[in-house]
Amino acid sequence: MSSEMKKEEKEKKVGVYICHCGGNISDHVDVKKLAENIQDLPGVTVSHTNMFMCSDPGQELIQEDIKNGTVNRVVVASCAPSLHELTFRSAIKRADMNPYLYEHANIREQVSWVHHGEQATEKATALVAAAIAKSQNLEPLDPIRVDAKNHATVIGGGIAGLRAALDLSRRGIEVALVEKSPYLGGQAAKLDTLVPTGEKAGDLIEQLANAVLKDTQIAVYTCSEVVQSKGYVGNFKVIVKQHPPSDKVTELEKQKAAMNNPHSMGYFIPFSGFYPKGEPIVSRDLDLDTGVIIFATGFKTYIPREGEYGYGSNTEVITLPQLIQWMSEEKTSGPVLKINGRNIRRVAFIHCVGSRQIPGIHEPDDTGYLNEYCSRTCCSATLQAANEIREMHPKTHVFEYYRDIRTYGRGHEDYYDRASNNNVIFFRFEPDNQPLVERTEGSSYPLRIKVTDTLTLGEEITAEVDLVVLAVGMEPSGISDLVEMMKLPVGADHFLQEVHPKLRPVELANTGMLLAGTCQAPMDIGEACSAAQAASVKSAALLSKGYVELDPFVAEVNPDKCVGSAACVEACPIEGTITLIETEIEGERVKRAEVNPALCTGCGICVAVCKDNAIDVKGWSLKQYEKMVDAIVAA
Amino acid sequence: MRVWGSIAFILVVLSLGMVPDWNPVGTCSVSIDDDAFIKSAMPKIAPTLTDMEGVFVAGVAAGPKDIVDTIAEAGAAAMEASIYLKEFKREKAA
Repeated sequence: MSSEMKKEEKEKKVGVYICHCGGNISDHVDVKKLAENIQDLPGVTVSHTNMFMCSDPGQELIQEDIKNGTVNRVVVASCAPSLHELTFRSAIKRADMNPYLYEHANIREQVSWVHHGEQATEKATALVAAAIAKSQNLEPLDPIRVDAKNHATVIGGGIAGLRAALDLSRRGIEVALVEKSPYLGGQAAKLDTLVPTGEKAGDLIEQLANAVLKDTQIAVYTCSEVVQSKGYVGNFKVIVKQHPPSDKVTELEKQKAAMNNPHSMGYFIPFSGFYPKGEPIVSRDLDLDTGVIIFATGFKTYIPREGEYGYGSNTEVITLPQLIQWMSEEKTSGPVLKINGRNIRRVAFIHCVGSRQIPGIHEPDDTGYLNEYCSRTCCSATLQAANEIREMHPKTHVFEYYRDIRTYGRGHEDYYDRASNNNVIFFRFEPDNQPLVERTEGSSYPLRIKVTDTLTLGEEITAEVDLVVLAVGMEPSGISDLVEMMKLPVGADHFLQEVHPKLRPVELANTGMLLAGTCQAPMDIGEACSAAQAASVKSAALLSKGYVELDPFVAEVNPDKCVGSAACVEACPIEGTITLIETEIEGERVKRAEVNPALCTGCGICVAVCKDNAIDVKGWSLKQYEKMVDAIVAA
Repeated sequence: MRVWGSIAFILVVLSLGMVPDWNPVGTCSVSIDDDAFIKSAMPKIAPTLTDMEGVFVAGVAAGPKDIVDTIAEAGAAAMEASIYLKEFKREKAA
């Protein structure tokens, strides 16, 4: 390299690119003024604004400046780095510049969304000035490359877990499928006829479970739980604990063995799931070395509160899953529906129970929490049940009490039309004026429902019925132990949260951990399978190279300053990340700290405890912070 | 009796539905459903499979949906397509 080129590289030429975010930023931050404010700061060679920096033209703006030598440090001022830091690093890399010579200033979440007017522009100026100052102290870095195990662990053996396991194996990845219960199939096993295909849930579960159990690349562990997880993408170490099932389950299995199908890998037990054949399960611990972890932990059904629409104190008030099971098990025929030996002349369905709850109207749970989301599947499931009753038992009348009908899925609206044609009677209520369910006296019907019906412009309508069915929603399943253990991000709705709903919908912020199905949000079976397949293809992309690249923002020891105090070793929260190694300096045996970069998360605790300033986090060094603080003070 | 009034507006915005953008007839023999969107062969457990081998469907081509569901389904189609290509190569090699 000629001395001239070296000199040229030493000169820091910062390009600043300010995003309007289509008004999201520029409605509150005067981006033109911001660009002017910072254009004369030391090191700045260009200062651009653009409507959408993340768009192709926005990215090309940066790449052109790099290619013609105008800039060798890049600062983008836009949304939170979690959204587009990677986008811009990749753009820089494609322009043949080291992607770590980049600094991101968040002027949307930290500025335009929370400040207005001049203050907003002032704060944005300070943040961008800090980023410019830091960028001049950045050094080129290389990502850390570590070998990746061609193995995936899928937690949850429901429909999404089965789907993911199968796809991963088809892509040549070994799979461990870990299921808590003795059965495969999850919550889908509690369904009967599916909307809109009319298929039986059990048939689909059998199809997937058989394929999974026949696949020699998939190890299925039922009655099993993940009890420990360590490591990082490509190299997780997971401990799975397996327990034998309860005697009740074993007894059930024996009974079902009578209907043994030699071509099947197990038996489907309606409303329980698919019980795999095989050796009895014993208590044991399994150590898995795995490259990615896929969460397919599913949902649980909302249980109505005592007294909610008469639930609990009245045996005639049941939930939709209970109705589906009873109708399927009793297989009643005849003009009138029979449930538990009782003729059901009139049945009422109430929608949105445990979903779309509104603060101030609905009662929160013990932790003050409400399910404010729509559970998506219950409208269609309710209409399916209503149609089945009307078509099989025409003498049973069906009333539906709803807030809104949301048959959003392909072909689902037909069920609504069909229900109207089947003379299902609809009543629409306002959330703050819910139907009232009471016991009757001196009537042949046990229950009475009063509603203020907005379809008849607020008429009060009372109906007496034999059965009330509550269309209960979905809730996140109880996986707080996994959330705690693996530090998983959870959304305001308590479901697991993806990095970005549109850009990275099946990835968790924890690299190498992915989402499949209803652990993320309410979904139907088709949507859960799509998500599972998307998670599988992401896993395959992560593992297919045989190695993974990790961000180089990890601690690094300065051997000239380290005196082997071991303060960092003691303070480090991740065991085994920093160790003291013996080395020889000028003929003397001494101890020095050493970092395992693959384990280090770059938290910086070690930096705070080192009295000798001998350890620093690459890309976030103390010197860089000092420069940022200086710039903020000066701005 | 309720009396309906009238209100004057400067602007009326029509919230439009989605219609299929492409009819495969004449181009390829993939089937469409009654709704004229591309037919999914296994809408529940493999939503991106069509009735034609090596042809997959994703997003609004298989019926109206939002961006989030579209992107997840696109991932699923990528999965199926990558497996198809892998198996196709293997068959060719054999």
